Amino acid sequence: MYRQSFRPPTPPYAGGGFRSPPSGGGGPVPPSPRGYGSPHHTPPYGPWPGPYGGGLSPRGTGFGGGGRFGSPSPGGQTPRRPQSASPRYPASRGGRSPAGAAPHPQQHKRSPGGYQRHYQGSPRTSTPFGTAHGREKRESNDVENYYRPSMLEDPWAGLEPVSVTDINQQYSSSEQTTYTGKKGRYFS
Amino acid sequence: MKVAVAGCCHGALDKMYETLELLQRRHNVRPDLLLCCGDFQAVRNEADLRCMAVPAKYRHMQTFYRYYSGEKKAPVLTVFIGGNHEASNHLQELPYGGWVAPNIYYLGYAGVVRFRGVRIGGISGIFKSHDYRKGHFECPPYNQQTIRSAYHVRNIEVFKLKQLKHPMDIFMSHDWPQSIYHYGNKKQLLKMKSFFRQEVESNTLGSPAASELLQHLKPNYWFSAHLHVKFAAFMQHETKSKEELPKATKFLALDKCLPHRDFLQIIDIEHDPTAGDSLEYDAEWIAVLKATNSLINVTQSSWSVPENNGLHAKWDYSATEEAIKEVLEELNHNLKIPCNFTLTTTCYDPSKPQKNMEPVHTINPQTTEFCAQFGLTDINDRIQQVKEEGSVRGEYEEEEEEMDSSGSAEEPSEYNTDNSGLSSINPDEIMLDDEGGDEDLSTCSVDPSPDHPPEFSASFSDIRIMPDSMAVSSDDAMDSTNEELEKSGVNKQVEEKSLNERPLKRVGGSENGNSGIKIKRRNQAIYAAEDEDEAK
Repeated sequence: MYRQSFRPPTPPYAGGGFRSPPSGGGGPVPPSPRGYGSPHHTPPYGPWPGPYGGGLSPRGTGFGGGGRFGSPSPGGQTPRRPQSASPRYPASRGGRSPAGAAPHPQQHKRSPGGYQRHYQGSPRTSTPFGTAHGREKRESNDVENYYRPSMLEDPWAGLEPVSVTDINQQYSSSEQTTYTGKKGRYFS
Repeated sequence: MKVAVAGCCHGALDKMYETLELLQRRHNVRPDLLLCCGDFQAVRNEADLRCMAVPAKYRHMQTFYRYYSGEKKAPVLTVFIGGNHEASNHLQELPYGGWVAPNIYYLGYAGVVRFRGVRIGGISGIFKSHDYRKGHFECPPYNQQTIRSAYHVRNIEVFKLKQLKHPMDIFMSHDWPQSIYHYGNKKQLLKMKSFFRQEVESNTLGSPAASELLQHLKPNYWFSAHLHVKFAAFMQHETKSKEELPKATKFLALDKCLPHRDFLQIIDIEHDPTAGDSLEYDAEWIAVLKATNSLINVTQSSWSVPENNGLHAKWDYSATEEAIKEVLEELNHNLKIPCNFTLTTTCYDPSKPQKNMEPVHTINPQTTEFCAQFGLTDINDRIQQVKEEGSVRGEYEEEEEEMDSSGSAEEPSEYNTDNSGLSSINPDEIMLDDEGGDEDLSTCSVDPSPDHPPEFSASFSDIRIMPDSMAVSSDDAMDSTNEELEKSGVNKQVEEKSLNERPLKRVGGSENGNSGIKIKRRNQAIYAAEDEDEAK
């Protein structure tokens, strides 16, 4: 039997909580169902939204010439930091929800749960750059903090292939200890 | 082509894409494809949140729903597998894979696709021996067991993948293949994650199922997540003959998507420049699906893999060249996966929170279309059939009840058998299960759901939608210690069962659950490090 806590109090669909979208059968209807690729959507593999400052010199990549895609354009511009004050996508990236939801508030404007944390501290700690609270938010959410140069480096640089045969020999004893008589038990 | 690989996403799609955008801006590097190795959290609404096995503090809407609704569009083709923190009801709609949003494709329980001639395979979920042989019997609304077992890897999926003969370029699993740490800088790994030491040294960390697949498929690349640490390995496989050139696999595990973490990697992958830009079906995989369709099991009954042992009439389900050719002809040699994403439920609306929204078992039109095209069985349809058959229904529910009362608590630990050297009692177990993850907590409560109306976030977290045993589950709360967490989940189950006067067999010890079952704890350090690493 179902656990009471998981039984829909008022099953929205005919058939005891089982839904087959095509027939509907009452209950909530998905908002504006439409197929993928409808005119509402931008084409797949289309240009990325947002401004892109092309032609920046790569740095610290482990991919040499950059392959056939994404190779650096000439120009030798000095890498520059993005506008840290605008880490978020531009407004044009989003758009209104098809369900007609009101525009979402800007990110990072308030704490979820209704709990506003304040780190104002003493006036002596205040700076012209805003409150400590604001700085903390920027530090934790700025996309700059998600970026690491190693993302472009070869993760296998310096690694030599290790033979399965060698490892099997090395760990056969421990495997025996662990799986005595049960090797392959998961697959038989 | 350039491929971006990501570790656990945890619903932070915006940050993932923003980081890619930053790479484009700064280095003019634009990946053609993003691969996510699980814990994607394709949460569409409040009902989906209920189906995600995760501690309550992590149960936030995050950002996926905006991609689902069409408000946002993934700027790069994104392919992902499931992990152990997913909206399982959503992913369950697509057992053979499909679009969860425009430009975001889920590989299914197991799946293989092609993009620009690159063959990409994956298996969703994490390994748990006690569910490994079961069928895909779960369906929403989940109970406290099925919300976890729904994402446990099944042997049928491994079996299907092992039927593949053609070479694999890329493969993804959420948990690491067992033993893979021996093929990389183990010292560095243990320096970062010292609590892995015992399991690494005993060769018990990781998924034996994934390891089996790794040895069979020998892909050029294997990507994983789950343990929340970046780790690279280089594995040279054995050859069957001296004439055969040895294959090698470059393994990479990545961290979760948080600031200052190694959650993303750009890789150069050789591709076929003549191939199209669309995501495509893999003909051999489709042929294997057709060949194995009769093996579908939607019950909890154990299923044994067919072997050449005299007990099975057939054990080889690999696709013949003729079968592959048939698939190609069926598709008129057009392997492009149709862009047939369709909404199947209402999308979260921050202005109209529906905190009592219940999950519903849903047939997804994409799966219907896929199954009709290739003559396959929709697992969800089969589940429903079984449940609707009066005589069978009682049996089905009885099975669930049986599971409720005994549960997986009785099962042995997954990755190894008894190892007394690793057994220990951790006095911090429950406390840390409940309170750990400061870093993640702050991140999750500030970053991912900034648009939550405060009252919603607060009220939803407070709702006892699921019992704690469901929310703070074993394998679910802590990626790096699935089996330990299973035990901690058991402890919480014990507490709950005790309250319900339905004690588990292994109930013992004090009411606070700090003794008894916890003897299976294999290391303590991981709990101390949980704040940093456990994650969701």
